[in-house]
Amino acid sequence: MKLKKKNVIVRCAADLFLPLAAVFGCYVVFHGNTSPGGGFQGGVLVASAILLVYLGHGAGQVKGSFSEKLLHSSETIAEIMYVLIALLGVFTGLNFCFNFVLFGKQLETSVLMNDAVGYHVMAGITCLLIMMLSTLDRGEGKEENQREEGDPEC
Amino acid sequence: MSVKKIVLALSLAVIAACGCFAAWDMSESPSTYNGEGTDVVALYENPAEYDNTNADGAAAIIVNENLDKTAAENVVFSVVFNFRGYDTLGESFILIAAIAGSLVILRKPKQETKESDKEAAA
Repeated sequence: MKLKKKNVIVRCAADLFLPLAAVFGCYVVFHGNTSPGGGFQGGVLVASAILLVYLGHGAGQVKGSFSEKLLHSSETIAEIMYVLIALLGVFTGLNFCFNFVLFGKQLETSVLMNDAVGYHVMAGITCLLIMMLSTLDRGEGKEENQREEGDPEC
Repeated sequence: MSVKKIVLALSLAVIAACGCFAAWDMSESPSTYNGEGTDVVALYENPAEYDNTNADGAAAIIVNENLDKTAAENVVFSVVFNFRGYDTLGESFILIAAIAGSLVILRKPKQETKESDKEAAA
């Protein structure tokens, strides 16, 4: 039973680095138009923050914190967003996927396409990781739940 | 059966004829960019002063008219999301297909754990 209980240091380190990982991933997504990186890479960085939740608090906490159905449907929503934003240029006489400048020179619609791809990859990889962690933790599900209830330090 | 085979042979013949015509037609058109006249050493040593006015094909359009065509600051970004936007769209669909497939495989053990949890709770 001692091995099942997570160490305080591991839990605190996971809590400390979780926001840093998430913010760094969002930075890579939102600066994809001017710097290396972009939607795919930043989305995977944000999604890998869920592994810190698993390391610190176990798979039972992961299942309770994130909704799989919402993530899977938001994947589809992001794909529809990509197509709609790419279609914006068609209404102004440009090609599909080409830039339609919204506010002067400030905002191009490709940046929004980049954000949609980042959202899509983030939701998809998070959904995949939740599925994998739930199969990894199949045998120990009962013990995990007991540990959460009887843990005084949380 | 024989009618089906005749229709199949006819359609294959039409496709072969169209392919031969396209191949003959394309052989007469001018060649696209193949990097023939590129001075690689000069481009590597001094990329800012390299003369790219005589480049041909899609490479010249992407390098010279990027800002006019797409209003994007970064050429790599404009290639990924404007010139090859269909490619990015296809990649996203591939990701959806991959995750849907792994969901089908991994969903069964998850239901078993839910049932076992209910039994343990009851």
